[in-house]
Amino acid sequence: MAALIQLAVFLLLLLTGYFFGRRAEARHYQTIVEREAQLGHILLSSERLPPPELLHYKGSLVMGNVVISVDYFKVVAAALRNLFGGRIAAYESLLDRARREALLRMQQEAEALGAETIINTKLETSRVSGDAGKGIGSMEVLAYGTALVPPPPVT
Amino acid sequence: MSRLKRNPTFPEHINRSREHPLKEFAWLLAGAVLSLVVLAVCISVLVAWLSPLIPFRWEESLASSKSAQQLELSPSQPRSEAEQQRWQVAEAALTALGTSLAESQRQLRLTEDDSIGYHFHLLQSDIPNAFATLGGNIFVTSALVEEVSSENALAMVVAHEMAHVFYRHPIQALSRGAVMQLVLVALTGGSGSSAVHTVLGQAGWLTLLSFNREMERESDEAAIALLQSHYGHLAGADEFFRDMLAQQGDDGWQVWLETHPGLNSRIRMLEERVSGAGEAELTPLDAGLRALQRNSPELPTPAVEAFQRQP
Repeated sequence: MAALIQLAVFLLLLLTGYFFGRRAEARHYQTIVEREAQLGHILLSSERLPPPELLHYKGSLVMGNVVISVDYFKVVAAALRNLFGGRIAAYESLLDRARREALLRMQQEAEALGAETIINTKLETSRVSGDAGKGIGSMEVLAYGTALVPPPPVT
Repeated sequence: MSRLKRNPTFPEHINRSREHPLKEFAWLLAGAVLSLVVLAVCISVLVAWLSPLIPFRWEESLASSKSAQQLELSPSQPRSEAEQQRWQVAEAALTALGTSLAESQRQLRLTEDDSIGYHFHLLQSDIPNAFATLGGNIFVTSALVEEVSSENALAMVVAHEMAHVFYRHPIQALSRGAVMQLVLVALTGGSGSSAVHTVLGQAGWLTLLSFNREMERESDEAAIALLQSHYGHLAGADEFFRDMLAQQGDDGWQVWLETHPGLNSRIRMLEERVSGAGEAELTPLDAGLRALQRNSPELPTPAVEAFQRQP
């Protein structure tokens, strides 16, 4: 009987994780695609130096930071993957979302400064494990770069 | 290098999988559980083959009689001297019954190995039960002694536990559990997910349980053979199973979650052997054991009670 209860609890947690995690992911992707279209005019590049025609622009550090939590379903799926090896698809979509969200937030910052170009874009990823022990609790992705802010118009 | 006017839009699903997560999950889970079940079966078969080769002396030294006595002498209330004495007499009677059964077992000549020895203990408990542990220690609870109406019923239970010892089941169960635990830790220790450990653990234990039920069946068989040769009949042997059935019912389909086979199937097994034996006389319980049954002498004597309880 105890085995059945343990199994039922596990299944319940798994279903909860799957249902809410999947819903959150679907919604998140929807906003990501929308905002990517909206902020498409803030150019992203990994060039270290500003293009020659923008040399007189002022460089300013912009950042976008995001922390996304893993759901229970993803944890179990990844742990099972650990036994056999291969792509952990559950974490791939998580990181994809986090990276794109971080870039979007960085673009938002640049937009607030009035900049339309970000150069030297870099991404950092780290694990915020919290009390998840050895497992992955949540992912942090930080995007940072140099926004090229146009000089104020001469009056 | 000319500059873009807008960031390019990339097609989705380059950086993430198109595959449905449940599909991947189902494959992984099925694969993991199946491998573990196969592993558990292999371990069980190997253990059943190897652990009887462990000398019985080693088993006895593992379970020193000291720890058995500690278990036995752990009633919640302190006993009075009279009670203590009654207890000792009852335990001696139990040992006498077990020893005479062991003598019959020896006459059956089931094995060459005569190093196996039995130690019988009475255990203070409200739950009618009996079990065998390492080193040939057999425990019978006081509630079981109180419940049975004849020596035959008690002998069936004792003979069943003796069969466990005889077939070296306790050491097998211990080895199986230990090896299984080791394999589980080796497999899932690195992955850091307690959930996977739990699921694989359950799969492993459920597999081991089927071997456990097989051991119980084997012991039932042996107990029946022993009772047949000891008393010449099997009357009264099914009493304990029937009492249990009346109290808790049969497990039915849930039997795969249990350590023991379903009560109905155990009773059926007994009935198959009993057929044609007719009415045989039951052996009354030894006076020493009967004294345990009721504390107050005002109550009807156990013999009368035993008579009333006959179906």
